[in-house]
Amino acid sequence: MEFKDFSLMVGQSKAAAFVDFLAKGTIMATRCKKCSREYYPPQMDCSSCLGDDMEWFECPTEGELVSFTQIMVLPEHFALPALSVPFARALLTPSPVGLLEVKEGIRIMGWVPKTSPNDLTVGERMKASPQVLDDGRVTIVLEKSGK
Amino acid sequence: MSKVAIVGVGISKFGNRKGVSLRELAFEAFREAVEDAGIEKDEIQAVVTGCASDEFALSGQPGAAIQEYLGLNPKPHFRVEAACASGSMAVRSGWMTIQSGLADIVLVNGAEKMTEASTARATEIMAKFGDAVWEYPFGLSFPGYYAMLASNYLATYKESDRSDLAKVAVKNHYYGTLNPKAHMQKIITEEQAMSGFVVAFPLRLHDCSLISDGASSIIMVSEKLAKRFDKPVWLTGLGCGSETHGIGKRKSLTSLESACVSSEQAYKMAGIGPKDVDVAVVHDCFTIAELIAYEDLGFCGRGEAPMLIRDKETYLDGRIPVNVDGGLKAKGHPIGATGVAMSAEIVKQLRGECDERQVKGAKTGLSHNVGGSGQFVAVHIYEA
Repeated sequence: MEFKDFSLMVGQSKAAAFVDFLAKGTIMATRCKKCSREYYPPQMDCSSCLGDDMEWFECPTEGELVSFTQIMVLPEHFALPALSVPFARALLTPSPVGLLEVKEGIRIMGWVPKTSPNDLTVGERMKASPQVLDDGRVTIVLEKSGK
Repeated sequence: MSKVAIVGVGISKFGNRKGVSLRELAFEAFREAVEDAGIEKDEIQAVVTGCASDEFALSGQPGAAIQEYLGLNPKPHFRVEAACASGSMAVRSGWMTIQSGLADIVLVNGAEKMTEASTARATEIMAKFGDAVWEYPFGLSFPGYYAMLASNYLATYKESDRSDLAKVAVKNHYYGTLNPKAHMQKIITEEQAMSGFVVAFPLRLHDCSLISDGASSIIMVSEKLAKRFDKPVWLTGLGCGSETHGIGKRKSLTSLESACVSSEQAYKMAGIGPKDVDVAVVHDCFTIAELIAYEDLGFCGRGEAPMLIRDKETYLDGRIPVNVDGGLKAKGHPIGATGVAMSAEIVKQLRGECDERQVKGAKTGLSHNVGGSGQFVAVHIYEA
């Protein structure tokens, strides 16, 4: 699927099924069957015990915001092409990006749409969920969980 | 164990060196180092070059172009890459080359030409130094990673304030004006640093180091050859560590574990502690990184870095002067050159050759060089 190339570039990974799970609405992580170490982002080999027998499990999605930023100077890939209207200036307001700890050792990165970094606080409760974008690509968003 | 000395140093002018190529930058630094050491270039027995990016160099094996241009073929030569710590890892490799007995005189170069890329392109290249598969897709830029550290730091330590970041920028901009080789020669006020445009919240323009071109070279020799030289500076402690690639996997966002293990190793090897350091250069690619470095190096306790900068303890006449060459912030940060230039600066400090920015009577120095957002760290300790 095309979105794999852009939204999360896991097409060439043994963990590519992550994106298919995401498209179906779940955020999955992996666990080593031998030593029980958990991995998010998922990996199909265990960096701890060198095992390669891993199982998928559904990640908890609620937790505390560990940190966040809002990237105003974007990498070229994400930046707008130059406007063709003379003297015009485009104002791009990217959404903040946050890191959510849903359990010890599992931190989920996601966009925090429709918000300003001034409205975010480290430690506040949020929820992560997959979101299908208008063009069919899949990503992860974080929202205040209101607890 | 026998020792290794640095006996010659050279630094090109850092800046937007339009019209000067990577190999020409390296030549400027190399010639200065050879003249400084007072050796014939043919005495060099082996060469190590730190250069971080083929994408910035717009070529493969950029080190080979440098080696040819310095007229050093067919001497042994290889390139070291450890992102923004490439330079210090090259110095480490030079030390290893001598200690292994493979050579007695080693040239270590660091070079990077970054300004041929547009800002958007440079941001793209640097962004992919982070985890390109799992984190880059969220638009995370290189400043973005340090912004994540800054947000977490400012929230963890309630006493800290964004103005503490601005104070680091003010200090380093001031010292940049005392360093003729520095890219940025401009004093800024705290108000300016607080109000620049946002690059990655909460980091603003003046929190970020510069995209620069530059090169540095040092000449290292074995203990038995060091007798020939007037002012050898000894590399007495080396530490090195690594950190997870993904920022989501870090145990702490207020410290770099890689830097903590590096400093621990280096202090132990040199047989000194943080209080013995007279002058330090630390990796202030972003202002928050300098504050974290104060703590990771043990110059103060956890959460105390803001007080250190508020009390001006890292100024020239403070308890532990840090980045009085302008730091990456004002000197510029040609990534592969940075680590070697740090060594060169400390050597000059310990020889007492730093004019207006000289730390009086400095005998022990330290350099702290971070690759990526902590994935590679090297700490070196130097003694006169």
